[in-house]
Amino acid sequence: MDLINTLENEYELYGVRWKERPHVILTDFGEKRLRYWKEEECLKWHVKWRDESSKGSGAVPDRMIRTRSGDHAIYYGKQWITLHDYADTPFGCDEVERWGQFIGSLLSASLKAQLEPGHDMKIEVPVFNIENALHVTQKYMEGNFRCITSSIYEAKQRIQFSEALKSKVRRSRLPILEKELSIKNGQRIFHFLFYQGGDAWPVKGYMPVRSFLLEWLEHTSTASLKLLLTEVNKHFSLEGEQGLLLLAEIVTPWELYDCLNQLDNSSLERMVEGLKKYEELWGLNRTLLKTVTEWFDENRRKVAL
Amino acid sequence: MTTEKDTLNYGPVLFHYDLFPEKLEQHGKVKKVITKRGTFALKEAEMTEDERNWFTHVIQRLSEIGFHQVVPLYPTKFGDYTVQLGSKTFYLMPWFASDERNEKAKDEVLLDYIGKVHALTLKEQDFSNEVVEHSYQYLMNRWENRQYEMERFTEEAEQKTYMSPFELTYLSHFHQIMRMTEEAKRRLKDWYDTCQRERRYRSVLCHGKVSRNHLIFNPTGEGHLLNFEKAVLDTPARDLAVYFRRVAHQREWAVEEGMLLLDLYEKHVPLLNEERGLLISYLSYPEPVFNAVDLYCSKRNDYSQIEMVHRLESRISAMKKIRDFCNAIMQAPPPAPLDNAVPTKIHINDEGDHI
Repeated sequence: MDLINTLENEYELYGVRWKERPHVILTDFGEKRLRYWKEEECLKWHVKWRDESSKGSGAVPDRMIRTRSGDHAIYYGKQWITLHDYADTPFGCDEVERWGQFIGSLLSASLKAQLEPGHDMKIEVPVFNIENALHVTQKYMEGNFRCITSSIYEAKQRIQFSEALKSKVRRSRLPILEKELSIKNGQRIFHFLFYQGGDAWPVKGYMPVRSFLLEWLEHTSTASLKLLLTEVNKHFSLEGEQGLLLLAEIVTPWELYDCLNQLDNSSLERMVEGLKKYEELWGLNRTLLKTVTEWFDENRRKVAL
Repeated sequence: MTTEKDTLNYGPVLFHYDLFPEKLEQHGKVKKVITKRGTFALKEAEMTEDERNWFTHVIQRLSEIGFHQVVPLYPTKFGDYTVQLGSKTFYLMPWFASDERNEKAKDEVLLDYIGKVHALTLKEQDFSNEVVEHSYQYLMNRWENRQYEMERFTEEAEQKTYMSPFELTYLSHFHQIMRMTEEAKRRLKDWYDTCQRERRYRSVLCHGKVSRNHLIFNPTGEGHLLNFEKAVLDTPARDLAVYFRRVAHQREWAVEEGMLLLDLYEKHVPLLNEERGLLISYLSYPEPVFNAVDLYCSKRNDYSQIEMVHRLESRISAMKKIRDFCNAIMQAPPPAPLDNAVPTKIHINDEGDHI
């Protein structure tokens, strides 16, 4: 039986046909998306985070539609296939409350015991290595570019600060999250936020949230970023150790890698262009750090009052 | 007429069922949802996570133990039986149009079904002094506090030079109301003593809100129970008290009718003597009268005196019918021996058993 017939049979759908082979189909229930999974452990984790983070949330992740026998996937052609809703109207960044609620619910769900990974899970644990970065900068240091020398100096200080923050955390676990958390995955259905998740192995820690906050800042403003953090805080407390862990992640100078990747000394013109991009990227991350730090300070003052 | 606002409000809920409403109609607490895929009933409720889990467990368990006369819940496309949106819970059922031809038979079918549900879930509990003691003390304290509030209302009214018509009506029946209160307390104490002596009590799955409104008929005329949101494991007397207290307020209701319905129920679950006593206790306590006083105290500006007096008199009159009904229950022959009469015992859940 071909895939279309199998889908019709397993999901009780009619008139199924391809819209974008092999990912989007048209059905009598509207457009649906297919996801393909080689590893069952990875699939199980994705089922769990989607189910858990949807509980009570106004935002809806693209949960796995159940088959007629109640299963979350079908096994077809030596792989697992899941069926999801599909939407292509971007949600945008205007409704900060809904994004805040979604991220808050996501973080709450990710720390629940049920989302603990199985033994076969491949979880990426990003570790920042300044030595690698210094090695790359070596060839530029002779040029004594101010932006590079000052950023290296600042990065070293930030690593120390990040370590100091982490040392204050005694009991808390790091969340396990989808690797990519992005505004572009947020779509609109009716007036709610429909979040289309991915299918990659998860990562441990706040790196995806950090990336999301940076993306948010790029699309909005520092005021909007603070508002977003306030909304997240309503659904997932950032006032305790989890807040420190998030701050430690933002303080860690991850952007140094990206900045260094901008550099190109193959010609003077490219070198100047690269340095400009370096400065811009470093500046944007600085604004992120400054804004988030300010939010934590302001929030602490409010709590103290 | 479905407005864009309705679609936006209910769209996120119906999305879980892949339904797009063509028309939404409000019918009490239920929305009638008309779609190309058929007509459905969408119920909105306030439930905690534990209540939601218990509710869906009850519906599924009833089916497993062989009681199929329950309005089924449709699962969402994600396999859930309820949809949580903010503080609200929604669930979807088939829409059954009301069938007036069956209205007369409703009470009989209702009591028959409640009897069946009780019989299927009846369980003699392991005696727990703590549970019995707590249940008894809790109810007795609540009743005594309510009684004290009513006595205080009486004292305040008596001190007035000019009493209101409501206060006059209440005072003229005060002693009778207090006699009912004392009778209810005495019966409750008897039940407690019997439980202590016999070291037994039984629990069933109580519907929690037994009412004619919670029985509907499908197109083939078969009745179905709905609204198990307040279902709880408790004494069979609980559901019976809720039902009889409610119907006694209907003008046409007569004691004979009540006895016939109780007999119908007892064909499934013959009540033990202490359960009859507990039923009489629940029924005798004049809570509906006290509620009328509460309403008078809190919202006297919202209603006229005549409305308030009418409400009070109607409740006092219902309590008189209930008193006659209780007398009839006491005089009725004792139930058939348990060994022959108790149907298959299937227990629903061990957790949270209480009286």
